[in-house]
Amino acid sequence: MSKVVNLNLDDKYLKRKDYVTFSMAKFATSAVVGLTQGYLLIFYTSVLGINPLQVGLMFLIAKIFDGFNDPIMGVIIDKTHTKWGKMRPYIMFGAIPFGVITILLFIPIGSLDSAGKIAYMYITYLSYGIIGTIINVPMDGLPAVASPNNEERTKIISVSRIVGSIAEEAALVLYSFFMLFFNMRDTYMTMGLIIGITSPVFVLLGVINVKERIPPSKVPPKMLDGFKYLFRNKQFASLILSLFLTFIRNIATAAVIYVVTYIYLKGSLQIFFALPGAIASLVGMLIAPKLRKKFDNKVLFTASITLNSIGLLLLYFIGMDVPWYVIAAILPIAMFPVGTINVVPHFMAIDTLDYWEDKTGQRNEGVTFALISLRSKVSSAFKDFVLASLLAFFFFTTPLQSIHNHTPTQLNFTKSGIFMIFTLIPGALNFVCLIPLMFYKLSRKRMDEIRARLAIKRAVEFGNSDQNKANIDSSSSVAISGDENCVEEIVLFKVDNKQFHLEDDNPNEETDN
Amino acid sequence: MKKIIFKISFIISILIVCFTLLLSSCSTEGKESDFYAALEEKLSKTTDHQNKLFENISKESIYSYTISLNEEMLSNFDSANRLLPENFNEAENKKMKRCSFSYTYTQVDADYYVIAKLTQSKLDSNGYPLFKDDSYQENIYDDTYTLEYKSSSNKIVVKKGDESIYDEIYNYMSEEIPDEIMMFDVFVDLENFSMLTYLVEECKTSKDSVFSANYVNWFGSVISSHTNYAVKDYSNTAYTPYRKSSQISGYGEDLLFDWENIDLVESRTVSITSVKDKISQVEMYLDVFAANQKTTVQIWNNEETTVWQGDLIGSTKLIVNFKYEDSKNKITIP
Repeated sequence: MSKVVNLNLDDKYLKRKDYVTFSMAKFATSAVVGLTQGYLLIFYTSVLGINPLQVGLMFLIAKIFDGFNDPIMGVIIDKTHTKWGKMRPYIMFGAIPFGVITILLFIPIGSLDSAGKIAYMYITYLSYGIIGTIINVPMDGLPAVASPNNEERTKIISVSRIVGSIAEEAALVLYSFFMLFFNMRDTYMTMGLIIGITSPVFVLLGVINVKERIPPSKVPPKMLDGFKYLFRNKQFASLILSLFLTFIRNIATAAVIYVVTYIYLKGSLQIFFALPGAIASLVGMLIAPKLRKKFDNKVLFTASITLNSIGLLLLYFIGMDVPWYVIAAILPIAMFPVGTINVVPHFMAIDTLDYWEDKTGQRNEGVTFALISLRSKVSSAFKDFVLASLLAFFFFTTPLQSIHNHTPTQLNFTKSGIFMIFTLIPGALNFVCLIPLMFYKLSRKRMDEIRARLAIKRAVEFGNSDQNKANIDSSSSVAISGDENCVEEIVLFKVDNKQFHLEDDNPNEETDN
Repeated sequence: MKKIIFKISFIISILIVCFTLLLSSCSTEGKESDFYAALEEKLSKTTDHQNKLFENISKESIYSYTISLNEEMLSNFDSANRLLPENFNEAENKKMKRCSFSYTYTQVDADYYVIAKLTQSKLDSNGYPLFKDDSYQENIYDDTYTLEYKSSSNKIVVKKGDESIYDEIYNYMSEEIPDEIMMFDVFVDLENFSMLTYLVEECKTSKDSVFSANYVNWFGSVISSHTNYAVKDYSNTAYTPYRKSSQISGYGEDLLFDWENIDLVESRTVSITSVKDKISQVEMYLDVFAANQKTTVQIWNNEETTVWQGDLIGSTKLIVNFKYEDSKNKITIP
């Protein structure tokens, strides 16, 4: 027998401190991500002196392994039942280890031999991946269950995402500041200490304040089902493959730190390269929804990739012999389309969901976004692997640990190679990600037709057009946890004070509140 | 719950197997000999190619090259006691004396023309360089000395700034070489003015000093490079290839220097870029690391201890760009 939990969708449950503390927690975890994504590769190669090929291989293995951890963590979370909720226990107990592992990642362990350094690199990075998954997966899910009020959920997700995006640049600001006073080794160690010590404090504050008020309503997808879906939905498959290949574009961003360190010989310049680019990208992200009203998603994505490539190729032809501020001034032009590249695929993914529902009657959001998350990590893995391999190809010289503060001079071939990694190579190869998109046929016109059919289908399924406006998705539903003898989870949603049952014997049954 | 424990245990088991395999592959038995065997093979390819390039130059009758050399050396290093200046990382304590030298050699058949310019930092009575301001970044330089020589007239002209201080027919066999010319002696071969012999010698290496070697063909340009280390022990006056030094252990990126028994370590990287078997650019980077002692306090017992390390005290950067005559570029003697 199911039990009704009385949660009013219109009441306010979140206070200002919930928004503030959760955003601070998101800031802390994103700052760690920004630090590791932006600086771990150069730390391993230029401070610890590990061969770039070894580093690239480690990233490839570890990030792919990490990608598969997320859905496993999702399953673990959904099977967790504690008095604190499903997600909060993991965040609470994982916060301090997360801080500790961040510090350990940037310890300059110069006294170890090459085998020892490689082993340390693998152990610490894999541990970071596992602990990061334990923290970040529930952290991403927590806003969805923090309040039954859809508006509050949307607000806390939006605010925390914006704060998270800003936080990812925090490491950049710290790096540029500390490089004015310290060498690379001491800068990275200091950044690791600052971020590693402060992040658990903010994470704990956030998770203690924000309560879980509703359990998640969907059964999490199984990875195997995900791959079956990928092979069956060819539109989604072509989109995922295209998105995977966007790792080529990301090589340019990852190479910035090498450009400022070895071509312009001043690491603190990174802020002038990366920050304007990040702002330009944010602007691109903000105007993307407006552009979508005028252009097809695929056209918008293709145009953005093309503009990004043109910008990078322009930088290549200007060359690295000009003053650094010329390159820094032009870089935002190349980065502006990146915001659109980051946003539009999300809508294209939703289109593939609608397409599949129209074709088969099934809607697989869980699988879709789980695969997109996996794709993101696999892309990141390939980005680091390819970047490291290119550095090795261009004779990048790593320092000898037994020489104090060793900074070997890089050859002109290496410097021009680094500049090519930053400009020509991603600029020219970017177009490869458009090849799978040739098979993506979900134009705006076709999607309008699909959505019209779906609207009719949903209206017929739920009786009348008022019910259809309820927008059946789990974020606006109230999940009812049945007692332990219940076989099925029954989902209710409420519109105009009337309760409706789904997945019930009689889907049109109504009961007044 | 059991399934979760099983899954976590399975993942941990996989990780343990991976680490075991990884660490076992890091065993050093046989690795050192393999490392040096691979290195010598790469070196052989690199040096064969570089030797061929220099032979090709000697067959050219019309060509030009420009050498640009920049050198800096720490003037306040206490070499007797092997001590870096106190607060070494602060700009005012790092008294770098600097020198820049440029040299253009133009050959058209039997005639050749040379122009060389030398600029050195001004020194005080203690031999320390003078700086423009409190930032201690910009040296104050002496006047630039320029030497010009034409084989057709056999005349040397030396200028200090814009003022001519020597203008005579040149006689190398003369017993006394004027000071105005001798100052160039360190950089220029005053016998035949060609620096190619010097370049060939500097680009040479032996298997006992080579640390790394690379060779790649990149869209028609061939880049070949090698890095070498040489060690001057504390008790010696000459440099020894690092593989022959008893103060070195390990190999590759695990190379360890026993700094307490070392005076200086020299690292030399040479890279030659060529197009169609003609040298287009030579790069040479020389770094000198000096052993020095530092007193530190051990945290665990509050006792002072001496630590030996090697720090960079001087570096030289030399770039040579070659030009050859073709349909678009005509080479003439001014």
